[in-house]
Amino acid sequence: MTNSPPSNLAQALDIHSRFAVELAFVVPGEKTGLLPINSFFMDLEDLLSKDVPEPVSKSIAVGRDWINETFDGPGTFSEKTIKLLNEWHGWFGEALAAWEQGKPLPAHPETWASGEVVPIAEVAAPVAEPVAVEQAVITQEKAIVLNLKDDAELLNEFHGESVELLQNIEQGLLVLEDNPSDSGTINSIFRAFHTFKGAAGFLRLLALQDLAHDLESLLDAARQSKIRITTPIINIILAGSDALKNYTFQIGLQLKGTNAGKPIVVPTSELILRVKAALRGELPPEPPKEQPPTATAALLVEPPAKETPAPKVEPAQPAETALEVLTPKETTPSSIAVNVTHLNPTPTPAKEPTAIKDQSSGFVKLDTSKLDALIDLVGELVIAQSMVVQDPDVQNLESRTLARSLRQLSRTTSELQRNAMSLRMVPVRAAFQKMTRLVRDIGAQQKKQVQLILDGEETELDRNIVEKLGDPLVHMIRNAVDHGIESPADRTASGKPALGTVRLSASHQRGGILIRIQDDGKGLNAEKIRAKGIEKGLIAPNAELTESEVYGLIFMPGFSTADAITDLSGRGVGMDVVKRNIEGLRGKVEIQSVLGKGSTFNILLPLTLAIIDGLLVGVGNDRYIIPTISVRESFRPKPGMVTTIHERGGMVSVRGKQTPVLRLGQFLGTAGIKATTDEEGIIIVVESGDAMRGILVDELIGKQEVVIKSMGETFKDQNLLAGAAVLGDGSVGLILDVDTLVKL
Amino acid sequence: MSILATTDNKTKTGRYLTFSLGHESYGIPVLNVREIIRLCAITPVPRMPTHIKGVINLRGTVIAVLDLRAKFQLSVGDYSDRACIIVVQLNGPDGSKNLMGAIVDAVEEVVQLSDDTIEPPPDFGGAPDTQYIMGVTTSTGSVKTLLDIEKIFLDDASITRSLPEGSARDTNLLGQGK
Repeated sequence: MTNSPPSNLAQALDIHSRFAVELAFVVPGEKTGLLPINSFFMDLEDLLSKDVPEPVSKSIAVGRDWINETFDGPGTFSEKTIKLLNEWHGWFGEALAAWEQGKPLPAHPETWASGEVVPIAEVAAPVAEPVAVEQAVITQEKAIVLNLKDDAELLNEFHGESVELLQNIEQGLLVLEDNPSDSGTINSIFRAFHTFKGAAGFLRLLALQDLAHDLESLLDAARQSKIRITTPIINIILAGSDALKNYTFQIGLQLKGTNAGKPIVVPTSELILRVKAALRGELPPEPPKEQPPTATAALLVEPPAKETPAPKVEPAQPAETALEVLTPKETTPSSIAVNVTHLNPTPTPAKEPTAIKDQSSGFVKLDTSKLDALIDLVGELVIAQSMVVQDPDVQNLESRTLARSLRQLSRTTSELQRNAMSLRMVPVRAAFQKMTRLVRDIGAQQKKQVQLILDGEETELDRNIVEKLGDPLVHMIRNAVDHGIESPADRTASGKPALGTVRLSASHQRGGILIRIQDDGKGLNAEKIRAKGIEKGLIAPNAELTESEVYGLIFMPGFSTADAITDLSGRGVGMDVVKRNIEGLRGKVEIQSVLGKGSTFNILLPLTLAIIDGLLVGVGNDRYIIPTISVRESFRPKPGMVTTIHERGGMVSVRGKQTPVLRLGQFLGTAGIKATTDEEGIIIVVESGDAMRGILVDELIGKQEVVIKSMGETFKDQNLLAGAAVLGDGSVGLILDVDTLVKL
Repeated sequence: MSILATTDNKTKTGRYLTFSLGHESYGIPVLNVREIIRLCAITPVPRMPTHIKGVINLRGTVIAVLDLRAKFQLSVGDYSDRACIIVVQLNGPDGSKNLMGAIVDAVEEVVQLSDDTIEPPPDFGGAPDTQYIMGVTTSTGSVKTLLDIEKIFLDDASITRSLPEGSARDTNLLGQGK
């Protein structure tokens, strides 16, 4: 018997399809996709928490178990788990469909029986040694060693995220103290620990992962009402989150270069014992309330072997020599020794939170909406200022002090505006550095020798753009390595060095930012692409395409040239998404390629999403803004320059090319068009991609930097306007979408 | 889960802002009203239905403005001095908040109405369409039509009016001139 499908089935289906995409990139022995898949399961669990047929809820639980086992085990996917996940995905899809149609649900495949999956331990963990010791001697504390060289970026993210998670946990616990049965809060704490565990597992920070895991189980038990939340339990969880905080704090220190590469030890084994006891329903004698749990730990540990904090034991490595930082293997022997820094009975956990705050005092994390509001207001201020300065009454006043004050006001406002704008700018470094890892992983997997050279990482871009650039970059870099770079043997055969090079660079160009992905691989095969385009019905067999149009085909949905579809690319998803994403950022992609020599993808992006340089044009009574980046030239046509076909569709010769003319006023149905003949107006030649068009307007009013505003929900489905901007006089000017205009 | 809750049987008790359109009087829940501003210059947006008057700059935010008279197909005339724009906040089903302006002939007053003074909309058996009407009230002396502001505006909140994409490639090629 099946229940009627809930209204959020659509969301479940959506997750199901995103799951497919993520699953497609999962590779045995790799952790790629582990976190997203984990979060999909969590989302599904949340989404389908009520009135769900048992097989569905059970399947989610089964799936989560696999992921948990993976986290707890090797931390990477095993062949078997992937197979199961694929089966699961298939089954779940069928189940959702059946559920939607009210049909009986399919049965679970037999292979899902619990206990079936035993993830094969692969890839010896770098920190395996201290773990082994921990297992032998339970009182020995586990140490974590950071791989600062390779994981700095991830660790940084982990650190930021953890500080936040732990803060949420702490706040949640305080709520629980007043209201122990608040299931919403219990759930949110559970999720926070779970997320923490996942992230820690991803980075192979075993000690953190284990502790978080136990705390998570405790919360899970509370969630299922197996145990009751009491003050002792809250204290245990608090102590646990303090210990995690302690770790996080140390990670933060190391990231800043203090004690870099040194093992981090926080006494947790006693705590874990207490958590486990609490799980069994026994409450061990609680340490006195004022005393931090770490002080208790001291009682269990053997008499301190070394009093000195570890920095003196090892020569401290300056952070600058990051390449020289000891690899985990080399440091492990010393990490076995228990670090007794925290045996000091003063309440360290009480100190750490303040320390964390001190540390982050250089940065303020802001809600972007507040930032946007500030920038909006500054924009308004600039407009108000120019309205005052340009006011005819004010201009008629002959006061020198007023003139001076007004100049001062103008200077300050423009300075303020520049500053406000710079708040959004961040270097592209973070987005770039993630690619190093990607190239290394793909290269290793495909047995190709590839190096990634980064250039111009300090180039600053709007934060929103950098964020959204990540996905397209991943796809393009992946393509460059997967399709572009040949195997070492092939490379040597064609006289190239065996080591392939992918160059990722950012630079300022044409008032925007140019991101270039260049590989010295085999280049795009125009003939093959063309043939494929015809085969897929994307172009007519007799279509005459320029080279760049042929290359443009790879951005069409459903296009793929890889003869054999690999795990990574060649599925025909990707490049069209890349193009869409980049166009969504008001950017452009251009391809240059030489067969056998390599390809270059140029992504031209605006500096910021917030401001554009615009050409203000007048048509009839209305004014429109054309983004300067798309304007090629403008001129007043002389009689006879505009030729017509059938007395309509005009054309004008622009540098020897016949370019169609769009009479904007007529097209938009504007009242009061002044230019009754073409010669009275001005033609603005705009281009988008390879297409050009002459836009005939009444007059050119000026060039202006404008702050782009969204036009809101009402106009989100039209494609004629790219947005709106507030003009100098406070009225709204509409920004024309050149991409649409050239395609008319 | 409030998102999923149906809005049909919610209480209609509350305060309403009433305004006039032509000779008729209407009301909308005060909770949706953000502010009332004087009629200002509206930038027309081309190729939109006639009742979308255009956009205005509300302290840095660009918002769409509807002409309620045109929306309800009342007789269209010039706006008087008393005409103003009521800025309403619409809470979308996905939790989004969207500001829109509505031009009305004059704002009247704010009245407190309870469920028992609100009658369901009469069924005219055809035009006029009552789907935007939450109810009518006579408790204030005259007949006032209470509008379901979310239904009116969310309808207009996304106007699908894209230019035809067709023949895009042909014109592209034409532009090449090769």
